[in-house]
Amino acid sequence: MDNKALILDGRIGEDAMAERSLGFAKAWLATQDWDVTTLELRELDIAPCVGCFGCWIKTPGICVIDDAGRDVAQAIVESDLVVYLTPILFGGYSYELKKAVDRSIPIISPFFRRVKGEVHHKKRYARYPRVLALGWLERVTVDEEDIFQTVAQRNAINMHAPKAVAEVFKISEDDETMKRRIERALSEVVES
Amino acid sequence: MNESQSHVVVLIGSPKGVEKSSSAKLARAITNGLESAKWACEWFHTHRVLQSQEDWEAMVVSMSRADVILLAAPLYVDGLPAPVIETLHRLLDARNMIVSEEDPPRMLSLLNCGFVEAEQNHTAQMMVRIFSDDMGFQWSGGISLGAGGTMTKRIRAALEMVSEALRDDVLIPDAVAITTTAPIMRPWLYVLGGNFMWRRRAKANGVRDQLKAQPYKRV
Repeated sequence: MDNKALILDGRIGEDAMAERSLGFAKAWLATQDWDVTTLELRELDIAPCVGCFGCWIKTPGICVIDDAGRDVAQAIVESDLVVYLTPILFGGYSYELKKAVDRSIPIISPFFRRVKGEVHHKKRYARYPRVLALGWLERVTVDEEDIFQTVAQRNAINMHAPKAVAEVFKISEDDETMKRRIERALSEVVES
Repeated sequence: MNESQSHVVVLIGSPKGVEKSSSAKLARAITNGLESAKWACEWFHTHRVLQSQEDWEAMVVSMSRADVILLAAPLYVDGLPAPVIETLHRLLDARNMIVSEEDPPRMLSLLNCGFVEAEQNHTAQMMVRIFSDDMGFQWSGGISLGAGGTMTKRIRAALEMVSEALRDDVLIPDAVAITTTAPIMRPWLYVLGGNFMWRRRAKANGVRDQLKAQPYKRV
């Protein structure tokens, strides 16, 4: 690995949890000599995916929409680790993060393959980043935590992440616990 | 519509909207039966209501008098499309204008994915259920379809059963899920046919030999 990390900050407004998780993640990555790029997605011009499949059958590998969504997709492919930061909405990602994730399908192939009996898309590239998803809720519920964990693992299959880890925090989590859990999750996701 | 009429609100969560999307076509297989029974039916496009305050307000008013709310959307990367999530999130803020505690509307979702296995919609269905519970709606279930929501006779018959259950205000029969989640073809055949289809469409665009392009390949 070249130790290139991309942090996709999916906050939807002012969000202390986004600041805290970003701070802890960046601090740990710096101690491990990672080259970190952070994108605050709500500040970027990213249109929603229009579901045209043009990125597969018109301009293969590149979204037909010429905006920052293309840059995010490229940055994902060029990274060894992608960290999602997101408030959890209905068990899943924020719409700011999801917009970027929806627009990242140019980096996979349209061609189908079967994985453990299910149909998924083939790789376009030889290498894909590992993924750490950090999400937070006002009140952690079993359902939402379970969905968040499942989505991260399902995304790993569809987006070819060699490894994916997800952590769910409640917003009242104290700094020490949050820092320790983020460091542990980062260690886990990057270890061979 | 008049006050005594039953009322269904359809939220289309496909970027292709209420006219051209598979989501709308599938939803219509349910609403046709309701309209035949003199139900009022109002359609909204989640992507559009986020762009227009007027459309947003019309949707909120419509939902406030709904007996049934139907969300029809495609699966995008194991979840709901981003504008659908944003719409649902904003609707939570409008909850008090929409839901009366005494008589909350029924809610159901109709999701389709581009894989042959309808079960791949499961996480997105769970998300809609959480939204429905947060809003205080009566959750009536998620209907999942694979193969891009291909309409077969069998699927149409199942969606007509949904329509009938809504008209009669009874539970959606288990037979619906059994029918809609049954794959329309064997997975190996879906892979074969799907891959042929991608090549054919790329060829029509003159990019058949670029299908495996790697424009962002690391050097």
